[in-house]
Amino acid sequence: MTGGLFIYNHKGEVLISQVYRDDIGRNAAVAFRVNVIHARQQVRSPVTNIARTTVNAAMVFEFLCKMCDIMAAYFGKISEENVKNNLVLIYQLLDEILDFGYPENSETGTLKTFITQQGIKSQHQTKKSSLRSPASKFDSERSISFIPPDGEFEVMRYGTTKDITLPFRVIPLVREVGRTKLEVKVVIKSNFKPSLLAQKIEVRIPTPLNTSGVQVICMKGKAKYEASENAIMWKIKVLYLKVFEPKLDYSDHDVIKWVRYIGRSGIYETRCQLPSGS
Amino acid sequence: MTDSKYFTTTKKGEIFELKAELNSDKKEKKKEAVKKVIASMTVGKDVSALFPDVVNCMQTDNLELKKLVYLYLMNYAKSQPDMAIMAVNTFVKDCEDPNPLIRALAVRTMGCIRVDKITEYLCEPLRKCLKDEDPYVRKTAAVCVAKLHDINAQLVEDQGFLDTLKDLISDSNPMVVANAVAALSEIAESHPSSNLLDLNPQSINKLLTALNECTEWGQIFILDCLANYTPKDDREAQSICERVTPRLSHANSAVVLSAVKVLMKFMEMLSKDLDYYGTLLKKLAPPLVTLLSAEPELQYVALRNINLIVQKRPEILKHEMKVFFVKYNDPIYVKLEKLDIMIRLASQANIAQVLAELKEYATEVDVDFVRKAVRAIGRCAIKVEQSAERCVSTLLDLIQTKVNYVVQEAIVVIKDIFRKYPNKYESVIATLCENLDSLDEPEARAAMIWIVGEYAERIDNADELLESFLEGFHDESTQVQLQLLTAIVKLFLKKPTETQELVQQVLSLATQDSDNPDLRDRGYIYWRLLSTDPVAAKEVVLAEKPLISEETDLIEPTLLDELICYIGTLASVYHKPPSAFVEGGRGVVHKSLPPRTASSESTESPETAPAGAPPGEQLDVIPTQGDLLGDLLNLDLGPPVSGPPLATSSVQMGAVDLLGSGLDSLIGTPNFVSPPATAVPANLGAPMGSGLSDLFDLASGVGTLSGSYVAPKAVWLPAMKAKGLEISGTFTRQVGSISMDLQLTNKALQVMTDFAIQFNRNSFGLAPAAPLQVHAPLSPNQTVEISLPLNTVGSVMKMEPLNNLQVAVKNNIDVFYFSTLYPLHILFVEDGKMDRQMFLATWKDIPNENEAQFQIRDCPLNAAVPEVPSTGGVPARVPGLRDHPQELRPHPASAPAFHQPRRGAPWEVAAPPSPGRGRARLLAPTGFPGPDSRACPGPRDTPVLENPLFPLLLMFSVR
Repeated sequence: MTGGLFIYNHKGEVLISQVYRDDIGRNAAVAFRVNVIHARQQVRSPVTNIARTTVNAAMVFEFLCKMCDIMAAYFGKISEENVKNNLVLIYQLLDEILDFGYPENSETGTLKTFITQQGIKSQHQTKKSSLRSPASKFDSERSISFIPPDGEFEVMRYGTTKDITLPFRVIPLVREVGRTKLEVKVVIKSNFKPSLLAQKIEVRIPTPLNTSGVQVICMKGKAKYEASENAIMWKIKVLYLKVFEPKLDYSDHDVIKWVRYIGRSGIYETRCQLPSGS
Repeated sequence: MTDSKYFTTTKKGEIFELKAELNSDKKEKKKEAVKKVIASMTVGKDVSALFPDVVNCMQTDNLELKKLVYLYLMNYAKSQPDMAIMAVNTFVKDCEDPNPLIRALAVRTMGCIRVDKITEYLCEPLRKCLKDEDPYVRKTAAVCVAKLHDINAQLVEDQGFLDTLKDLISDSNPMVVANAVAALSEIAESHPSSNLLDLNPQSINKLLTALNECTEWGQIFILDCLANYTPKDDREAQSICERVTPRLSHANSAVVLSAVKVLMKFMEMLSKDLDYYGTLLKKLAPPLVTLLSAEPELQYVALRNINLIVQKRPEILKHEMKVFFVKYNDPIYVKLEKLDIMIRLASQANIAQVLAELKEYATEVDVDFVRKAVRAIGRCAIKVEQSAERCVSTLLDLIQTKVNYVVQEAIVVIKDIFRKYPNKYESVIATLCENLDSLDEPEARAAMIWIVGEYAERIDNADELLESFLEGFHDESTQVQLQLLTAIVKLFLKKPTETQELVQQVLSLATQDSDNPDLRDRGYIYWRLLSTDPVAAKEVVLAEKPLISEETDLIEPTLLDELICYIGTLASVYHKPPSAFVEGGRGVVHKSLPPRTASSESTESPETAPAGAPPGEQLDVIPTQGDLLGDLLNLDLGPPVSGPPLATSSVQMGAVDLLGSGLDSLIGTPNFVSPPATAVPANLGAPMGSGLSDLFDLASGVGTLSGSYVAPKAVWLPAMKAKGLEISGTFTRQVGSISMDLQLTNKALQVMTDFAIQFNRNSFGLAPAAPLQVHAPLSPNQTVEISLPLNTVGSVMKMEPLNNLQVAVKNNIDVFYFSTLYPLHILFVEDGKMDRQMFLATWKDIPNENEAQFQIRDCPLNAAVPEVPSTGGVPARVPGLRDHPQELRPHPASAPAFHQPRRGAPWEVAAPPSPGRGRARLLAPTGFPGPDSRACPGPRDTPVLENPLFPLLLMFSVR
């Protein structure tokens, strides 16, 4: 089980420390600072060995991610300033969601109902998990049924490997101009009809590590070279891929039921063949 | 309102100010003050002086303030235990509060105060809370039991909390069940033997019901607990699997991995012929693939686990190669792990895609990653024969890039490709030779030298190339030196006329100017071989090499099985058993996969079959770095040198004038102790080998004589410690010959060959009288019984304990070491009978202080054993036994008293006047082991130690 939890700033100073077991001391915090935050070379494993038990590593990472989600839901961006501003809140949250190192109920919706209000009745906390086997019929019938809980929640994630039509085609053209110059031309095309719109398109064009400068000529949207990310970030506001669902056909006209569908295509990578000899 | 201002108060008198604020009448001010105190505490400032003031704020109905005070208490109670007592009353009161939140908060906080005095007061409130009407309080109380157990385990047991906790497994609320399971699992870890989590079909059913309804974290606790259960048969296993399978589609990676763990474990019990088995296999792939879209850290944990799963059940992911292709912005640790899995999944079906990917990776920027990619191309060539040509040409392309580390890595793998496909790709050697100068890493240099030596006959200037390395011989690493020595010897055997000078040069460099014993030994062996019998030398040095395996870095099967039981945990991330990194052994229980039940016995190949390698196929491990030469002449451990020397004499050696001058000095070399030319490895099939084995094959000729006690075979070397080789054995003595009865079991994946054994010097000079003869290669899961004859003419060194024997066993994989204790009676000669007068005289000769007595207990008299007539045997009374004048008879089976040299007396008391066997004089070996090292040495006459250096007079008497 989790022995302790620390939140650091970028300098490696501890902002939040919560220790659950005797075998985790402040030296554990130091170990992390030395081996990870101040590590000389690139970190070769996200797991730093201070462990003395066979803790469930997957659970620890899942919990940390969840903790970030929760904090983001409460106070937005997780920055040093925000953590300091919400110190007491974070301790209260931790108190509720990590008891003796055991993760407890961590659904933001449920938590929000009682961590901001005081002395609220306890029914909220022991509510059974909001979703019961959402995917049980999915395999056979492609349908899911569930009782929606209050607030924001995730019904399911799915991945598909069959019959994928990528929303865009990316056509890169790379040309070497002299020994120190590279010309990259990227064309992006949508395969969908103009009635569909896509939002928040971001194209990352990776550049060599030793890039000294980039000249960007951009026809649409905004493109900027981000030296820290070794990439040119090209943001396009609207393109033709927006999913409008046909009006749902409900017989009962008095009840307005609506569902907003947002298709998120995720990330995909287009590789280009470098001209030989480069 | 922000809290950051609390971080900035560093003025003088801060504590004083806070004190005033804490005692303020205004609630808001109090709250602010407590927040400041906690902020200071977080950054490591000592605010313990405020303890009484903060505790005073505790009695409030403001929940937020209460929580803050509790937080402070948890931190400082330990340093202020007396003060903490002040808080107890409020805690106890809060445990009775009508608001369940406050009840839970109180019991939760009390458990976190790790002070003995408090724990006593905690018991009653905890007992109530465990039976609270509100599930929120119950689930908090369940965790509190684990907290209390961590502080005072005895108290928890005495108070009966464990039983209450067990009852909570049947609670109506799934979260309570989950927390009870979590608490019990943790407590059970510290009591491996206790039967705390007494899982049976009924309780399993309850857990499975709760599994569907509790939080994601609760599901993890329950699944991890289920994984420790062993179903009674395959039907139960299947029904649990069916109910666990829906968890695979959970969004939480940890739930998925824990479910995978349960399924992987229980699948062991299912028959492969079952339809359900196939269905289950298919269901496992998608969730594992989905794990790769999680955060990078989770991907890493998932990939480390997938690595194990792919080794255990390669069929699950064999069609999923593409998801393991690296993305350009993956963190390096994800990239390296993905690459590992790609190599494992490479097959003829996907090799084209894989190669195209690997070629891309080889142009990346991260050096480690590029190296691994280049190495992977080589692995593909070896694994998929059809792709070998394409791989080689890809490697050549990469060599053309002239990127130093790429070239070096490529040469290292090309060497392996040459091993796998001899005489096929030699055309590339010219290209390789062009890059000779750029090689600065030992492994690459050694690989290149190996190639030159191996193909010396086809490289016109091989001698020049090798000579160029020889200039800086002493600056090279051992790896390169050894390789250079072997390569030049090969060259000499292939082109003897032109390279005599070169070989003499390297031999003298290796033997006379080097401090490295390995190098010197190898040098001497070559020297001897070349000078005695060049034909034999050719057979040895240019012997056909065994095949190399297709897979590398496979985890040894027993370890793999154990790691499968730890899927999702740190052990699975490290690929090490918990015992290797858990301190103090807490929670280290050796886990293993359940055995297949009888009803599901299938006739298929054993479960341990490695990826893509049907059992029985000849495989050898590619030597890892630093063991590059393992395949050539790994002479670290030859057959024992104490046996009679071979018929090669120094005269013969001198007769060969080829190296004559060097040899003379060689013979005189003081550090060369062993008889000449014996160190030919048994496995190399040299002609004299067979003769030797006849000579020493005593094992078959020894008749079995009843009587001599033989201990049952014990495991001396567990498979875990010896890369799959398990050795058990015992010692026997039969008609004057001692032998070590060994049982070798191959629990690894590949065939084991080339066995050899060697003993360290020991107290009685025990040494193998013949080489270890394992006639056929030992296939996986095969066991062989060997009787190794021993003698006592080896070198002597006092061991602690005296009968300690350190043994080294070598096979084609590695050298393993273990130590064992041998029973002393194997050293006793059978004809220990002595004339009465002589015995008396001898006895008297021995000083009294060298006498020791030992009472043999639990040695039942066996009436069936006939008494050996004491014809002129041992005297009736012996002066040494003044205090216990007893009848003495030479019948050990009825031997209540046993005399042995007194402990602590020095070894060197006296040399025996006549060091013949049996004519014994009692010396006193220090720390002589008691008769527990075999109480009843069988119906023999008075045994006397065989080794003339340490004779021992023994007397047995009947009361």
